[in-house]
Amino acid sequence: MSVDDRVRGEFPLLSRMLNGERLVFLDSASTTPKPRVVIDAVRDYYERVTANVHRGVHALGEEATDLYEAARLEVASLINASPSEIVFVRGTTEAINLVAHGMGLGPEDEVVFPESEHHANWLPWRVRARPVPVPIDADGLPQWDRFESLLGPRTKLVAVGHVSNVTGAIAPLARIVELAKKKGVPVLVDAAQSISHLPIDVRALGIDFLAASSHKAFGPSGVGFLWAKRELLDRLALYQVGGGMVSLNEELDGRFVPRDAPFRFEAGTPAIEATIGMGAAIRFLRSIGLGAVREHDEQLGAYMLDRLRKVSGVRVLADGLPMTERIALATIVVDAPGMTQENIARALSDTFGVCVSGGFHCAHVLHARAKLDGTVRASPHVFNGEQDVDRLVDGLTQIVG
Amino acid sequence: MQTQHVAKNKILGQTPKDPTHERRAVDAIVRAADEIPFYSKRGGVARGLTLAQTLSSMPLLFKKDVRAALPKAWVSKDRDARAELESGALELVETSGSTEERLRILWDKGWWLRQEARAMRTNALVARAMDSVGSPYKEAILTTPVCGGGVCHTGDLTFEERLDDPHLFLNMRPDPTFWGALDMTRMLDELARHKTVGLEADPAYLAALAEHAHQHGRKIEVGGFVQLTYAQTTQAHLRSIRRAYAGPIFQLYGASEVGVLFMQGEDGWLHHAPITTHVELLRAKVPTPGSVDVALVVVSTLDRAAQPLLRFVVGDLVSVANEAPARFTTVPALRSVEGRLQDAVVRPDGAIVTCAAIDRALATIEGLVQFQLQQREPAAVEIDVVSRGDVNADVKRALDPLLLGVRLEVRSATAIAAEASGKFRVVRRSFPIDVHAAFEVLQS
Repeated sequence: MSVDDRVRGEFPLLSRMLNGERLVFLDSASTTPKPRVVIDAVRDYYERVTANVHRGVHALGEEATDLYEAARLEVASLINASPSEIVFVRGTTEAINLVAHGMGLGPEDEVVFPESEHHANWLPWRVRARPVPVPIDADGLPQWDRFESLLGPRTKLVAVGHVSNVTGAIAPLARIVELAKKKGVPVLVDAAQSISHLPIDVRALGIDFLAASSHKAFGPSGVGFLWAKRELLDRLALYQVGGGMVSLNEELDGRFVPRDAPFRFEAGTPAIEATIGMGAAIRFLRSIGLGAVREHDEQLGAYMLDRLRKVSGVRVLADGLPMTERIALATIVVDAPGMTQENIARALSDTFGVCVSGGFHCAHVLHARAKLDGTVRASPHVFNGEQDVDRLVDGLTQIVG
Repeated sequence: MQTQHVAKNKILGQTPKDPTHERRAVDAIVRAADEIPFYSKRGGVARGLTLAQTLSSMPLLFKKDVRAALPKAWVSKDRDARAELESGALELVETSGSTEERLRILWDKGWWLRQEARAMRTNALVARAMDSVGSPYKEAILTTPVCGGGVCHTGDLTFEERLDDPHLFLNMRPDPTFWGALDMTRMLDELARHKTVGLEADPAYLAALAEHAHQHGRKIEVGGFVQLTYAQTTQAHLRSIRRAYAGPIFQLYGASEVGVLFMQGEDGWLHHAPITTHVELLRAKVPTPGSVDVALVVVSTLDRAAQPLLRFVVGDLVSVANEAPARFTTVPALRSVEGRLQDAVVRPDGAIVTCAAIDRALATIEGLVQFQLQQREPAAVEIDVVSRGDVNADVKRALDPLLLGVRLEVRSATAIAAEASGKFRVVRRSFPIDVHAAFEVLQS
């Protein structure tokens, strides 16, 4: 039995009908459906536990803390990190902002990143530092041969999306890290799109920061994590302060002692149930195995690209990129007179029950450089099979025709 | 610990056998049953009986029974618990563990230190180290600074602030996953600076420190002995510790509720510590694959004026060493502490697989650093494995024969979580076991 056949039944959402059609969900790059175990974990917290974490000394408080901290372990094991290096945040965006703030960057400090990046890995550097984008080609692919020349004495960080949310291209991290390290520059990886598609070993990669969200990895929205090397976490300035992150607050002399990382960065009551759900999602993902996910990804991605490129009036971005260098994600430009790319995405949903993204995918610069007035993005995952791609292609064929 | 206040034996390092143990035990039980409201409300105990008869006339006492009673139920009527707590004559101690495990316990002032030092001295080598003339006894403690339900420490403390001479408290982080290289190097430096003779350590903590020492070409500098306590020692812990420490290692087994129960002697057996308790060892009625002569530990305290516990089910399993001499009392010696009953795997056929049995089965897997089993349902167990290299297949091969009828899933992990108490558990089982069905309980 193929992996998609094995896991599809675990997702209640996928049994839904949309306008009389079986739902085909091809928008996992936006957010993934949630498997039953994640829904159960969140519901179980509400029905059986419901207590704050790291505060209550009563039984429920302890159980909540146990469940919450178990999620930290799952995350750590997923990326081969220590749990004390995992900071829970609201998502990738907050994780990157935490680093941008914590590094104390100034307007003269340079951050190098590809021009194709998602706004989450663009705007924090624009606001807090001097952005130095790596140019991209007409397909939105970074020109990595120009990367080294952009690293200068004022470069404080390299920030790179592991997988582009528009092209699906996998960044050549090994080479990027090698070049950055040669200049003594730390590397931040935005793993929002890769965390549920590729095996990640932060130690083997030699990177310094990694940011990711739960909701693109089968978990609830509103939670994600920042991983950082322990010594870097200890040096990051506090992003926010408040309850739960302090071990001593002395009224008279104004001194306060933050707790050890990661708790020093987790002020206030966190998204407890979402975090517990994220733990369940990672358990689910690990039980499938990232190796199996990747294998499925390569097979389905190849099938999808092959079928899409045969539809007349459809142009696939980064079409020449082999599957070994991309995930199963296809961003296309559909030539349908009188219809915007958003119109097309809407029509796929309304008429064919196929959910895809349409628009700019939080990557305005990429679209501007590629002179594209929006795109349609199909992003399958491990629960999708060839029959889902067939439905997409059938729909597109009819729309274009 | 005020070791200088503990009366020394005439011959250094020798504790005599207590010929009055069983008579003292009967007297203490009868007295407690008469004077302590918790017991007297249930009816007293008949006099003139043997120890076995006395014990069998009383029900087992479980943690839930103790938890349900307020402090005033545990002191004799002529004492004012509130006033004594205020004056410090009584101490209220929160034990660690999950809600089902945790208790509030009354200690008479100084009781813990007195009985602990007495128990340690049953080991002649330890006693000699503690009494060495000319070089004062210096002890370091390596465990969690977490106490009760909250974190006790408030920021980093200096060496001097952590020194309660002769005791030095080494650790300032919630558990070893929070240690950085600087923390561990500091602790190694401080062990040397303190001229440590005895190191009392949680094995998981010491194993982590020893790995760091080994990686940096350092040694655990302890002049006398290492005493492992607080938690179950695994073979992997010992392997790690031995990378950086070649001196004597002893196990000390006890519980906050009842004191030190057994101290490992120079002969390797764990001998019952005299004076403080009487221990019943209830033999298992069910198979215990991987372990021999498994018994459940039931304790009656003999020297506690406040909150004496009678036939208290501590919740730990041990392996009884029938071939070893009972040194100090009539309580048999132990071969090993097998871990908590709550943490043993219970197979669908009723067999109990102890934490130690699981650990022994995994002992030869060289790359195994740490592990934790979770049994959420009778027929399925999941084990998280922290290792150097991929040992998952070896782990499955080693455990499958022990876990007949149980589906085993092995998962790689980068760390095992410490409990809220800062301790590490080897096994977590989510469903209960009926003690009376699984163990031979002495009953009249």
